[in-house]
Amino acid sequence: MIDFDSEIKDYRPSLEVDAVEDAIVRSDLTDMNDLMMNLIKEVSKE
Amino acid sequence: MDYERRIRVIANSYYNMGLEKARLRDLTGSADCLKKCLHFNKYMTDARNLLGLIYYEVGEVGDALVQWVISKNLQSEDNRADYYLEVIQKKKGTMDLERRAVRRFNQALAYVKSESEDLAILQLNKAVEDKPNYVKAQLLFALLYIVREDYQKAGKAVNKVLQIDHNHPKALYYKSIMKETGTRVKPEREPEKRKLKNVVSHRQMQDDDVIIPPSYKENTRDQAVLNILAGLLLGAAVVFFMVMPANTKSINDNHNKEMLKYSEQLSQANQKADLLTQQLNSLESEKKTAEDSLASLTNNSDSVLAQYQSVIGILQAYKKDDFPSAVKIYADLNPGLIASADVQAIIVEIKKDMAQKGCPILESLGDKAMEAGDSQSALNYYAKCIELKPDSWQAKFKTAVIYKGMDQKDQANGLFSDIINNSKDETLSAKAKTERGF
Repeated sequence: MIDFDSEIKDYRPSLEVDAVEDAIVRSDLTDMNDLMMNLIKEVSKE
Repeated sequence: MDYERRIRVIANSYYNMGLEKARLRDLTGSADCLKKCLHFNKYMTDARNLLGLIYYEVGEVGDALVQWVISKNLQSEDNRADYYLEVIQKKKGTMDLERRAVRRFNQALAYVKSESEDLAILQLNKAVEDKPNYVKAQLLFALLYIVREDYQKAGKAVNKVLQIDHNHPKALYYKSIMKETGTRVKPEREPEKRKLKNVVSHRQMQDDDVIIPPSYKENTRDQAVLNILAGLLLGAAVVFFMVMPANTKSINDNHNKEMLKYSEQLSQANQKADLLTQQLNSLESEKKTAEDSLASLTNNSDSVLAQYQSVIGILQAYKKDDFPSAVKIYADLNPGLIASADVQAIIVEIKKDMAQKGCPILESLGDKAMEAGDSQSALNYYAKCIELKPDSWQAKFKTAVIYKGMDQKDQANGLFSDIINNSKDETLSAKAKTERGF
């Protein structure tokens, strides 16, 4: 049988349309290529 | 830069997987692949646009907008995201509807967490009504109905989710839970399949297919209303055709009995009225007789009372030695109306006296009446004289002359003949012969 309380914890509020702008600003767009570039830069500095 | 190529290859692979899963409507799996793709290469515009499209398809319009706007920022030219954003913003009311549905879901979630499930269901109902493909709302809706053990409604919501996202893990989980309880959730068929329901199907049967007998029909709300209406009509018909006639007959019988009773009473009343009318007529007749009798006793000059008064008048005239007045009153006396034997005895005495002395006075009164032209009074006086003294030939002659004058020839001739035959007065007999016409 379903444990309602634990099940309901999985539900998250949907992103409201008015909050899209903030969500875009807060988005982390770092990808694997950026990470690799950072690593290479750090290695180059050393 | 070998790693760049490798990263690109990995990203492409994830994108391809995501695209394939999206085509198979495994939206959750597709979204996972696309997210991984973007972790490797954020510039994979197609992957980002497809991720936005998947978010939009499952009702998460906010997340979709985020992905499309970022996509637009990362690649401003020749980007499919332009089209998606334009379509959403161009269509009137779309954004308002999306915004409202999301707010309702969030509000419902807040209600659930504050243990107000009824209010949450109301909000979710409106949300999925406006936006049936809102997967999170459908799933929360299903969860609330599973907890309430209303598996029919929960099953419908779960099926709707699985139509949108065939392998949604939570929907599959809820479906498995309902299967454990023995609920068979009928999957909603596609409209195209619904059209073909009467066509012979050759497809292979699946494990969860349910064979429904053709005669079986699931009761919908409309059918229930129709059934209730039909029941009401049937009940009204039974009352109208079976109960009403019996009641009407009973009422008519009672009415007829009452009518019969009233008719009998009316008949009795009529008989009584007839009897009373007869009695009234009889009494009126008796009253008239009594009134006539009283009138005959009192009012007329010929009345009984008048006769007694005449006798008294004669006696008073005797007392005053006024014999002519006594004779005059006697002339109008009718002794036959007097019943009293004592008074009759008095009248006999009076009559004897009148026979001896009254006749000349009566003749004299008759003559005076004749002189006055009152032949009727003269006849009375003469007749009274003849009654007292039958051989009063002068009185008879005068009477015969009066009758002759009144053109009563028979009576006149009878008297004239009596005089001619019986009178010893030859002069009078000659006059009678002359009058008689011999």
